[in-house]
Amino acid sequence: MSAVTAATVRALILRECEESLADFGMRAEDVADELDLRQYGLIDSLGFLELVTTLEAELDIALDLGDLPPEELTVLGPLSHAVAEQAAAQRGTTTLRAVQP
Amino acid sequence: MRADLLAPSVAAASGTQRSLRSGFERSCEQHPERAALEVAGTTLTYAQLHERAAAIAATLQRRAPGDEPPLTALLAARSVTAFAGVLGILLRGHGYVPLNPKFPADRNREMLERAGCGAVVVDMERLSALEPLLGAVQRPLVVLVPELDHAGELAARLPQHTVLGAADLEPADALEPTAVDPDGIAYLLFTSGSTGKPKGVMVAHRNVLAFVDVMVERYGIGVGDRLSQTFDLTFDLSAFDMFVTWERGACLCCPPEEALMSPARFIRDAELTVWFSVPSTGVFMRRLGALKPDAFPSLRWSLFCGEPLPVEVARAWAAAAPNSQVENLYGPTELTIACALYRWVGERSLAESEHGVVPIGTPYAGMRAIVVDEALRSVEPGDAGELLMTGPQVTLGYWQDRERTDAAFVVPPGEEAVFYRTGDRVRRPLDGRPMTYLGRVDHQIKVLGHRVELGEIEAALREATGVDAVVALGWPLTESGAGAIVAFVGDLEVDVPAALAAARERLPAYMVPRAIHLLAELPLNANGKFDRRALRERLEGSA
Repeated sequence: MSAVTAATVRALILRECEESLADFGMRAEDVADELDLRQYGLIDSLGFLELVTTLEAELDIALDLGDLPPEELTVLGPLSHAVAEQAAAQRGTTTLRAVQP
Repeated sequence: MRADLLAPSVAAASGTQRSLRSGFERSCEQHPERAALEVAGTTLTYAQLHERAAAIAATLQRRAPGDEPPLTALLAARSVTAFAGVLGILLRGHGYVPLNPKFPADRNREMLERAGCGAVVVDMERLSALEPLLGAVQRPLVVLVPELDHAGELAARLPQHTVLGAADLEPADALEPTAVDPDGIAYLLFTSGSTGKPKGVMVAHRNVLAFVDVMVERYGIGVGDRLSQTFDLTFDLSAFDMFVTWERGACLCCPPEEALMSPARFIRDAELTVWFSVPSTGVFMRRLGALKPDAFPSLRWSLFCGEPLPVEVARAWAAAAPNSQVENLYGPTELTIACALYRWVGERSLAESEHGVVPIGTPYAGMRAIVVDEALRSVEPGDAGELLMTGPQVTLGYWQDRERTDAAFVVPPGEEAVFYRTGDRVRRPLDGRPMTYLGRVDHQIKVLGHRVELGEIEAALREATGVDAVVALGWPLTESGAGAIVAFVGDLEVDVPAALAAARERLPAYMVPRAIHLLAELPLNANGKFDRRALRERLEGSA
């Protein structure tokens, strides 16, 4: 069973946004934690829901992001940390599947 | 501030004819020191908001005196100027024409030019959008940016227009009383048009007043209420937020743009008593886990409109806001914001819902609905047909478009009144039952609550690609409509990135396809039309 860290989650998120990043001429390794996926146009509200679904499936957890401050919800660093924290809290059932960080 | 210290226009401007600004003016007299607006970290009392609005009105009156047409544009969002601008334009005796900062410059320019406005009110956050928007507008405009300290630089960049800033503002008490015709346009809203050109819906003062009267009565709105403001000004549901609030001295609470995606904290922190949004917001919050039981104890009313309300969202929201009643409102812009409603009451509502969607209910007092076949004859109770409605909320029709007005605003056989053809398929209710929404009779869809004519997207893509065989579909499907657009083009040689870039120049983001699929040719159905069902099945197959 691998530990789910913020870095793992971050890599997962960037993998999901890879195509949009390429559209903007950006590479995953150049992206800062402060990047707001929504404000930058990398993701819309539906895209965000799809991302949440993907993260839940990959990490085998149920996410509850309802109380994350809205200004942090779509920002790469805080979102990665929040997801990693919830993964750790649900660690008993957490496994990491097919992730290549 | 005492009421007698208010600008004289508060009392004088309203005259004898009631218009859309009258409720705000009365609240200014009765509750000058109560909060009218919270936006962008600022709270304005009724007296303060009135002063800002009256200054804008007086400045427009003096510097942009033209009344042909009596319409003034507004490019502003989620700022003091956005709301003072709406009120200022109304106090000046004009109807407002909202532009949308999120729309491409070309679309805003088209709305501005087609409306024939002589002036536009702009907030500070939109300054960078002004050159792309106004640089190519030949007709000289008055551009009023009430918070701009140094207008000279902007004026130099827009030499054909008259740019006015803070230093040019007239004092509020310089406003001369203006007469308003209750049958005149209160606001002109452009909605997606099936032939590729947005349609301007002309909404009269008396239409909105009929709506506001029903709403404030039903919801018992009073000075203690705090209402949400979630909608863009180009979305007519924003008129509910503003004018229902100000009719009775309540406070309008406008969250910042970033809070709209997940507004749970905003609802709690702002201690809202009335929530009003598209159901997509509820879908989103439910999915993120924000609809926890008793999460929003301050809410008295939870209202949804703009697209089908999923049963699961109604149920979860009712538990999250247990002190509130959940209501599903229904109505196209042409029938003034909303004209039918349904209250969610748990188990019985579950039984009355069809396809997992909450009923649209029964018409407002004064409005009458009929359900008809293609010849506009009433269908039997229990059968499905197109919903037509008549009453005081039937708007004036489409701006400078007699043909489309005549096609949509009709007198059905055996009737004397003008009915609006909604294009919505509903089941004609059996006695005492609510109407249920079944879909569209045409190719209009809702994308995250936004009204979208697929024909308009197809027209844009035809122009961008030079290919006639184009079909746009709502995809992926969500609980309450569609999440985005996907298009098919019948030509393998099309430059997809270029077509998408062209679409972005012309269409609001929610209308730009997420993907364009190229096929050698598009499938046809038995009638020789493009087979949308087959294309949808293709998407389902690859999902």
